[in-house]
Amino acid sequence: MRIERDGSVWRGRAINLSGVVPRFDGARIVHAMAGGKESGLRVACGDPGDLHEHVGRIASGMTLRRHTALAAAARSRGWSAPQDEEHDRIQDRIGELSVSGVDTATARKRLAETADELDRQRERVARLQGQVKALRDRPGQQAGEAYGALERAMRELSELATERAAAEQALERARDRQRQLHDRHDERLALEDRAANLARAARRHLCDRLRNEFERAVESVPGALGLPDDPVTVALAVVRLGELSAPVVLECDRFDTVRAATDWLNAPVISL
Amino acid sequence: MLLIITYTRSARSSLRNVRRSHEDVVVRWFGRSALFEATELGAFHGLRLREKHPEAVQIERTRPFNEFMAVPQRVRDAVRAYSEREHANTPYSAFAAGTDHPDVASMARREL
Repeated sequence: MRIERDGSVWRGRAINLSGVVPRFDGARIVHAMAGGKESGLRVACGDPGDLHEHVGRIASGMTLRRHTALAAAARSRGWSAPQDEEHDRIQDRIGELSVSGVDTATARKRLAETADELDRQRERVARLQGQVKALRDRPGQQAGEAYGALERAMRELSELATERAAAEQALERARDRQRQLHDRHDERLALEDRAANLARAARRHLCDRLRNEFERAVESVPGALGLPDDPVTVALAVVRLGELSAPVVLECDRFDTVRAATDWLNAPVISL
Repeated sequence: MLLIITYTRSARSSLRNVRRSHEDVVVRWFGRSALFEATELGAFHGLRLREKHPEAVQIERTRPFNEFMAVPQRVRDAVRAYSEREHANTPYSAFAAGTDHPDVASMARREL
């Protein structure tokens, strides 16, 4: 591997950066390894892969999903699980299920607006009817203008009623499409649940296969005495069991030298 | 009440989070769906879920169901008569044939 920062270059399978000033940030190194942009910092190394996501940076106080990590170590050895085939098949089917969206919000909004307008218009017509009636009761008043306004208002009312009916139908159609979409979502959800169960079973299978080796590895982790469940201890054991071509960033003091760490872990190491 | 149905894993887990942190609006919970109180707060949480998962959250408003108001007498009578049938494995369609009880197709056609 090769690390370059601001013109300085470090090379090799075991790199000790602990005394370097300014200090390196482990998170930034891991980010750069995964292809992330880090100004002034470049790390060239093997492909990090799944296992590296779990144990690529080992620091005291870290959290670790140990079964997932252990299963990833098994995978890094090229192991597979009996559930893989069905899991992949289900994933393919999930990919084929198209669940393109149906927007019913527009139709709902339109219906709500036309319903409001219709109510307002009804009130307006009622008011005009009242005015016309009052004028009719008092002979000699000019009622022609009020009649005209009433006629226009009634015409608008009927137009709005038509529009509302159309809005109702449009919403009904959108809801029908949405129902079909929900059926497909249901199907996909069932497939996803099945895939998740298979993935869990596969992880269990892989962990079981590694169990004895894992227990021996945990016992032999330097400084593990009294800390067998410590995430750092577990992560180190997982690295030893798996195969990593990208370096592990170590921010813990379990090894005397970075060379000792590389030998024990059987992986490239950057020590901070 | 407001019936909230989720259709993806992420929407389902958001619903679970609402249930955990806003117990007061969740009247009942059925895994991937729930009944929320028909309050502005219930609507607020329902709409928040839909805002986050626009296509994976369905919101419907439920109404109390009163069969004595919404369901015609003949249907209720048919229910009672069918529950008292002689042979437990007679399907309803066979039971209703040749009687005054409504047939399946016409019940399916008539909306409440």
